[in-house]
Amino acid sequence: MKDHEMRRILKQVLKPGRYTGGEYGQVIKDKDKVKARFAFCFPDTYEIGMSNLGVRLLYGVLNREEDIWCERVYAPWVDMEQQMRENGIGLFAHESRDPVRDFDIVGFTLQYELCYTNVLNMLELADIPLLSKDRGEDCPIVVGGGPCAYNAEPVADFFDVFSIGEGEEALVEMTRLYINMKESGTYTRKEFLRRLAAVPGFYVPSLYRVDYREDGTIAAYTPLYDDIPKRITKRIIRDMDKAYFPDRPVMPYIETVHDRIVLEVYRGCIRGCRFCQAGIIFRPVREKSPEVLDAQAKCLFENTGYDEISLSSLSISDYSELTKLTDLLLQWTEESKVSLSLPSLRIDSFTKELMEKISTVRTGGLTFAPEAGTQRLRDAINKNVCEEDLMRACRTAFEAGKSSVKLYFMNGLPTETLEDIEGIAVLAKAVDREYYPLSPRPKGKPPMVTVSVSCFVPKPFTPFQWEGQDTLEMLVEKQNHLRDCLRGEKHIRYNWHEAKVSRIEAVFARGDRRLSAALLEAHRMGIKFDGWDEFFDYDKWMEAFSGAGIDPSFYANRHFSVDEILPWEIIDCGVSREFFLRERAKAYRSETTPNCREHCSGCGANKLGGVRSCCPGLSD
Amino acid sequence: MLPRSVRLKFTKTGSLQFISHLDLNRTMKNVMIRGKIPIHYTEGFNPHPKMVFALPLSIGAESVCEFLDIKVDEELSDEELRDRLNRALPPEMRVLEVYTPVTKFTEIRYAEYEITTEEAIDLSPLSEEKIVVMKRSKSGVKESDIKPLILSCDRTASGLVCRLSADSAEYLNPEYIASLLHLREYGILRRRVLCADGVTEFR
Repeated sequence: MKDHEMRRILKQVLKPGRYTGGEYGQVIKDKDKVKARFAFCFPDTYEIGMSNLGVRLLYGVLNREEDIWCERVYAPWVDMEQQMRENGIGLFAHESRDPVRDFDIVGFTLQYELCYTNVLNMLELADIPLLSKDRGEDCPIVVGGGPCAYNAEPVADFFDVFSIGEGEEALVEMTRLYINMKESGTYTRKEFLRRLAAVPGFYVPSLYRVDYREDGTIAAYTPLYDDIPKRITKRIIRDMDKAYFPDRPVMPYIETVHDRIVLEVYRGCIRGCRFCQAGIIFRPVREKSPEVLDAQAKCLFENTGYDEISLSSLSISDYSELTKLTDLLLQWTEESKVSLSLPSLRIDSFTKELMEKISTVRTGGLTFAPEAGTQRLRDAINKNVCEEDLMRACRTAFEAGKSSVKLYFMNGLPTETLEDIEGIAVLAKAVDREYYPLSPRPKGKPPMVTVSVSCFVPKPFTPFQWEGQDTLEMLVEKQNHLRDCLRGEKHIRYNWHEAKVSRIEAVFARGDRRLSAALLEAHRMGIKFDGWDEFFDYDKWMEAFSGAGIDPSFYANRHFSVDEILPWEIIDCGVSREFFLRERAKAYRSETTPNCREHCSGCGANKLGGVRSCCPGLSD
Repeated sequence: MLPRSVRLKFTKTGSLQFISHLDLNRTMKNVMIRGKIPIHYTEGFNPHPKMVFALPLSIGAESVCEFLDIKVDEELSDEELRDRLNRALPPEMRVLEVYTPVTKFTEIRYAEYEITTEEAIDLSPLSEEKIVVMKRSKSGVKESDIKPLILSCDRTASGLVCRLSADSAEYLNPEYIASLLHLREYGILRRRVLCADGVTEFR
């Protein structure tokens, strides 16, 4: 494509900076001198994709290899897509503007279920056949990864292979195998995938046959060859201190979602909230040492010029050396006018001391996540916080000059009753009442408590994986009941998530391979950008399901039996089914489980090895 | 020492033509930190680096003559400042020169642009006595005669070169010229920034 043509097109779209590349830190290589070209696709907009830490990591780690060139690709916004289609321009890579079709390997990171239609749309824009089985020898290998790859069955037909677990080492190994087979003349798609399937952490769906029972549940997964594993165990990075770290991230010009240094502190989570998938699939807990983190933060500050550092993890206050780390950082950040932010703070860890260290937290207010309205339900989901923790945290925030707090809850949780919903209102009102009796508080300002309620989506690899989601009607009834309970409260603002979106999410989260038909139908109908309110269209989705002969409630609302083979059990995430069953039984008894640092509950993730911060070694 | 004023003359080409002035501003803040430039911060409750740009460039135009004034707190040579900045900048932005300002921003009257295109050019619309277009200004879109804002416009082998008013009150975007000439695919490059006589370069 000529420069003047590109210019004419970009003059007509919103935010042309999404498509131009040329950022500081982007990697340019001589395409004639590299042996493999990797297109790393993020199936959403540039602003979201550029904020993703995983993309930064994998872009850096692949480009560290001299003979591999990894480029970035994002989903074009609808205005750009229209221009591309009208002008006959295929999906192109950010750095070289070369067609994605000409790459050796095309990778998609699957961060959320609602991006699946964008994956299909991007494949189509790239002129790559949507179905793996239709791809010829001249097509790139299409690989998927990220959290949704833990149950990739709904998109299994569109991918040649999935990389399960942490990809830093695996993707390099995969590309190496590709290069070696090309160089020795042994490469064919079939032979490559066959050999890749024997490499730990790679799932080639076409090499496993799925049989179903008459009632629609799965009868068996059968590997087609003897030398490929019956289940695919996820990959992990053993030692986080020694792991690759992206020291020169690409610097976007346009504003992105997280326009700051994101410092990855540790992987995994010690908590085990029973609805949370991330807390399970990133186990075992592996921490970086404070010294390593301090050096990495300094390096990122010098290489990016950002003046804000965000400490990233699933629950930052559970980092065992948080005090030491913040002390080390504060030795130089204050002088350099760099501010620290700690997202994902737990209610029970929010103290005055911590608040002072992050005095630079933006003025907007603070967010806490009690998740449920009553102690009974908080115990059932193993949240392990109590009302007094919340009150104390809010008092601390108010006394430090904050006048607004945001509280996150879920509705539709297993065992939930209307009483639990009412509990959310009771809690919010109690927080509001805490405000006025305090003597040090912002003067002349009323408090504002924002109650934000999302819908529970049962996720694979959680103790709640068998639970059916509440029906749409039940979810809406509960949302309305809470609205009634909060009516007339001047200081409480109530937001709720669209239940229809959560329902579609639930279908795909627990879906199997037969859902590929629904995705194809949805794509044919022009469905895309489902994660964006302005595009999400529930009625169209229902049409797509019926067109494909699929009953969405079979996946979203049905209570799966513990005797069933679950679609995602082809994957071994390290945590055992027995652990999930034990946790599920405890949930029904509203019994909590102590966190991993207090007591090991034998989830099984220690079998994966690695330098772990709190799990015991294997006894055998 | 007192902070010293310096002027940066830099280029903004290639993909950077699509980066808005606001985004450039944010990028420059990062560049100052990356380049370890001892930039002077404003005093007060919320200190920030003080940067003043001359003549913002509109989206879709490249330039080899952008200007940015900053103050520095340490004794560093102009060459050292230039080299540090260039190490911290993306390839499509180069600092050509760092120097003590000579002229004031208010002395800017004209800018010279090169419009390149492979399409046929008919200059006759520019020879009319009045050239009335719908022009956007601070007070909204209204009919306006842009003829007095065109100092010159000449054919070249690859397109044309024109000198247009760049007065803060009467800035003429070169896109108007391209659209008058019915160009479809073209590029715009700002080559020089000029003072009142239309010849002396702003410095």
